[in-house]
Amino acid sequence: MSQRFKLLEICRRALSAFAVVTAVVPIYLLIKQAFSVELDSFAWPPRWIPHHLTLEHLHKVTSTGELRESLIRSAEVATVAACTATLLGTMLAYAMTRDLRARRWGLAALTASRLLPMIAVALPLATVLIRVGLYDTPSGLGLALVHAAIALPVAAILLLGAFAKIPLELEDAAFLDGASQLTILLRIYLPQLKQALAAAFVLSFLSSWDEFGFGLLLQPTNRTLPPLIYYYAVFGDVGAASALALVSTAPVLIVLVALRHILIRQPKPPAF
Amino acid sequence: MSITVAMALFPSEAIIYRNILKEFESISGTRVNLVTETYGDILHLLFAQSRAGRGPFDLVEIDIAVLGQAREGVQTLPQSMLATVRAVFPEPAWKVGIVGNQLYFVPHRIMWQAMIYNRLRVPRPPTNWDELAQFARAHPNKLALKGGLYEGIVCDAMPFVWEAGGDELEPTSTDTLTALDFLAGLGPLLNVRSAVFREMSVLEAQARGEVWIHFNWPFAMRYLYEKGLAPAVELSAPVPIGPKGRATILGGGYLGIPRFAPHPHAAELFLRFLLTREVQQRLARELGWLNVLPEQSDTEARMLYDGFIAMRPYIRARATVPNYTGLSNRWQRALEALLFRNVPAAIAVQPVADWVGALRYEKSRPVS
Amino acid sequence: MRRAGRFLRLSCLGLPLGFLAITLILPLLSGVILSFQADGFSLENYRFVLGDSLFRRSVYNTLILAAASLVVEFVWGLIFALLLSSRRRASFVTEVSVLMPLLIPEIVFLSVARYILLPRGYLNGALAAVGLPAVGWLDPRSALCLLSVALVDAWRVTPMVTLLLLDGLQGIPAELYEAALLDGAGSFAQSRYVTLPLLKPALYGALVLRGVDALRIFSTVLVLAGPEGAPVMSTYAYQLWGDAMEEHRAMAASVLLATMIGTLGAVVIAFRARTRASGGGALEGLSG
Repeated sequence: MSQRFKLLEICRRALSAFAVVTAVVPIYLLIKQAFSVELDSFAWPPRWIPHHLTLEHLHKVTSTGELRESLIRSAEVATVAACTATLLGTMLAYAMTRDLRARRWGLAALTASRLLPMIAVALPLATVLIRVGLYDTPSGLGLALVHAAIALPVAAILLLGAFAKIPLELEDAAFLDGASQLTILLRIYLPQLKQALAAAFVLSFLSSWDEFGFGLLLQPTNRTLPPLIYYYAVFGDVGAASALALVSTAPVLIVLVALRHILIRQPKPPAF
Repeated sequence: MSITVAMALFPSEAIIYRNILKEFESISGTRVNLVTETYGDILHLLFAQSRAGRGPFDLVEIDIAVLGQAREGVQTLPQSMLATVRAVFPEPAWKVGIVGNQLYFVPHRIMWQAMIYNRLRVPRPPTNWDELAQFARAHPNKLALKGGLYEGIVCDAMPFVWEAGGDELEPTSTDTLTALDFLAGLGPLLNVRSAVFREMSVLEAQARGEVWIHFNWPFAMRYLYEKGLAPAVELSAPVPIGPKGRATILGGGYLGIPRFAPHPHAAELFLRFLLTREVQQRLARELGWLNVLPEQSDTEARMLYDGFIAMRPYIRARATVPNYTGLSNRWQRALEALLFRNVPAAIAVQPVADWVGALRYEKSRPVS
Repeated sequence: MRRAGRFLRLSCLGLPLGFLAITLILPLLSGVILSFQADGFSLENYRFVLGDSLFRRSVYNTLILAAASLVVEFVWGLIFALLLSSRRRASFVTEVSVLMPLLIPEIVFLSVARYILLPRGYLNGALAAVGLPAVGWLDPRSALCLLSVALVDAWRVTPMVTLLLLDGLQGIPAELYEAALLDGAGSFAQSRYVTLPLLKPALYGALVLRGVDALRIFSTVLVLAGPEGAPVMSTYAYQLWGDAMEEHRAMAASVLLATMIGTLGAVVIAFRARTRASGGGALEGLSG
C-alpha cells in the first residue's frame, strides 16, 4: 500500500512539473521577446537567453495613447459582458431547474447559439449594430452584449450545476412558510450560489477579455486589446506584439491568483 | 470637425504618417482620426457602412486588386482631381481608378514587386529565367513564392506570364503556357511552406534565413531595414528577365470616399492635400514609398530599393475586367494545382479558359 | 402567489432566450438566407461548395482535428482535474500553472506556439542542440501539421475542460468515498466505481460544449498552419469570404458546418439518452 502511495506521489509530482513547464515556457518566451532586440528573435539557432535587452518595444506601444484607451475599453467591455452573462445565466439556470420544458428550450437555444462559425454571425451582426447605433461606440457596448451572448452558455451551464446541488426540500420548506418565488430565489438560492456565480463571472470576463474576432469587426476604430495585439502580430512586429501581450496578460494573472480558490474549490474526493 | 480615415499601414508607418497628417490638421483645422487595419478588414468595413446606410468612415484605402468590388461602396470623385493625379503618377497607376469615365479612386501610394535576396548566401542574384532555375536546383527549399490561395500567388506568377509574352486573359496561348511550364518546373524545388506563404510570412521566413530568394513589395525592404537586416544581409534585385522581356505587377493603395461618409467634403480636401507634390515627396522620403523615386543623393535608399527602381519602367496593371476577383480566383486555383499538385499546365488553366470564354460570349451578345 | 411565481419563471426563461435570439440567432438566420442567394434564390452556392475538392479535404481535416484535440484535452483535463481535487491540495504554483493557458489571450498564445514550431523555431532549435535533425512540424498538408495543430489546440483549452470536470468531481459527495473506503476499495477501485460513473454527466456536458468548439476550430489553424496548410471547414469559409470575396458561398460553407455540428451533437445526445443508466449530476440536463 505505501509502495503504491509513493508511486502515486511521484506521478503527482511529475504532472505538476509538466503543468508548470508548459505554462512557464510561453510566458517566458513572451517576456524574452518583449525585452530583446528584434534581431535576437530571428536568430538561428534560437536564443533562449537574449543577448541585448531593450525597452524599445514597451516604449513603442506606450508612446501612443492606443494602449491606455484599449486597456480601459477592454476592462469595461469585459465587465459589462460578464455581469450580463452572469445575470442572464442565473435566470436561465433557475428557469431550467424548475421546469422540464424550460430546460428543453434552454438547452436547444444554448446549443444553437454556439453552432455557427464566427464569420457567419459577425457580418450580419455588424449591419444590425450599425442600424441601432451600437457599432464601434467608444464604450464598446454593442461588443459587450455580443460577448455576453457568447459567454452565456458556459455561465448558464455552470450555474445549472450549482442549482442542481441545492436540495429541493429547502425550497418546499420556504414555500410552505409563505415565501414568494422571488424571495426564495434571492434569499435561499443566491447565497448558496456564491461560488458558482463568481466562477461564471470570472470565466465570462476572461472570455470577453480574450476575444478578438468579433472585436476586430465590431469595434474597428475604438479597439479592445486583442485586436490591437493582432494588428501588431499580423504586421510582423514580434517585439511590440509581445510587449502588448504582456501588458494584457498581467491584470488577468493578478485576478486569477487572487480568485483561484473560487475556480478550484476546496478538495473533496480523494482520487489520487 | 474630425474625419475618420482607414488605411492599411504598418505600425511604424502609422507613426510617421500621423506626423504628416498634423500638417493638414493645422492648415485646415480638421482633425484626422487615422485607423489602421488590414486591406481585407477595411473592405469589409466599407461594405458594412454601405449596407447599413451610415457609418464612421470618410476615406478608405483599398487594395488595387479589389477596386472593382469596392466601387459600389464609394462615391465618385470630381473630375478636376484627375489632373492632379496625372501630374504625380504614371499612366497605368491612375487609369485603374477610372471606370466608365467616372473617377472613383486615386492612388496615394503605388508599388510594384521586385526580387528580395540574401546577399550573403546568394552573392550573384539570378538575372534571367535560366539562372533562376539553376539557383532553385542548386538550393532546393530556398526559393519561395507567395503560394497561398489569395491574390499574392497571381502577383508572383503573372510577371512570368507577361515576360513570356502571355496574358492572363489568354490562358491557353503558347506564350502563357511557356511561362506556366517554367513555373511548374520550379514547383517541386520551392520552399516547402510556399503553399501557405503570404506577404508577411514569406518575409519573416526570409528574415529568419529559411528562404534566400522571394518576390515582394517595397515595404519588405523597409521591414528588413528596421530589423537591421538590410542592406547588411538582404537586398533587392530586378525580377529575372524572360524570353520576351521584363515585367512586374503594379500594386498600390487607392483612396476612395465611402458612400454615406459623414464628411465627404473634408475628405476631399484631405485627398487634395495628400496629392500635392510636397506631400508625395515627403511620403517617399520618410516612408520609402516609391510614388516618387528617391533622389540621386540619397544613396542608402537607392541601394535598398535598387531592384525596385530598375523595375519601374516595366510596371503593368492587372487585367481590367468587370469582376477581376472572379478571374483571379480561377487563376489562384490553377496556379495552386500547377505548382503544388503537379497538374499539367494545359489542364490546370482550363477553368480560367472557361471563365474568359464566358466573359467574351457575354460581351459579344447584342444589348437587347 | 402561484401566478407571480409563474411570471418569474417565464421571464427568467424569456429574457435570456430573447437576448440570445437577437444577438446570435437572428444574424445566423440572415446568414442562412444569404447562402441561398446567387442571382436570386438558388442552390448554386451549395453546389459549388460541395463540388469543391478543397471543401471535402476541409471536412476530413475538421473531423480528424476535432477528434484528436478532444481525446488529448479530455485525457489531460481529467488528469489535471483529479490532481487539483485530490485530498492533498495541489501547490499554489501547480494550480496557477494548470490554468495559465486560459489566461494568455488566444492570439498571443497561438503566436507564441507558432514561434516554437516554425522550421527555425525554438523546438527545432532545442532538437538541434542535442544533435537531432529539424522536423517540419507545420509543413503544409502533412499529417504532422494536423497533429501539431491538434496538440496546440488541446494545450490551450485543457484548462477549460479541467474546470468543467472539476466542477463535476466536486459534486460527488465525500460520503460515497468514505463508504467505498469502508468497503475496502483502493484508489483505483474508487476511481472506477465511484468517480467515473458519477462524473459521466459532467463528461458528457463538457464533451458537448467542447466538441462544438473543436469542430469550429479556426484561429489555431489560421495562425499555425494557414488556411491552405491544414484547411478546415471554418478556414475554408473564411478564405472564401476574405480572400475570394465570395460571401454567399462562404455562408453556404458556414451553414454546412453548422448543420454538421448540429447533427453530430444530436447523435451524441441521443446516444446518451439511450445509455443513460441513472440520473444525478449537474450536467445531465445537457442530454435533454
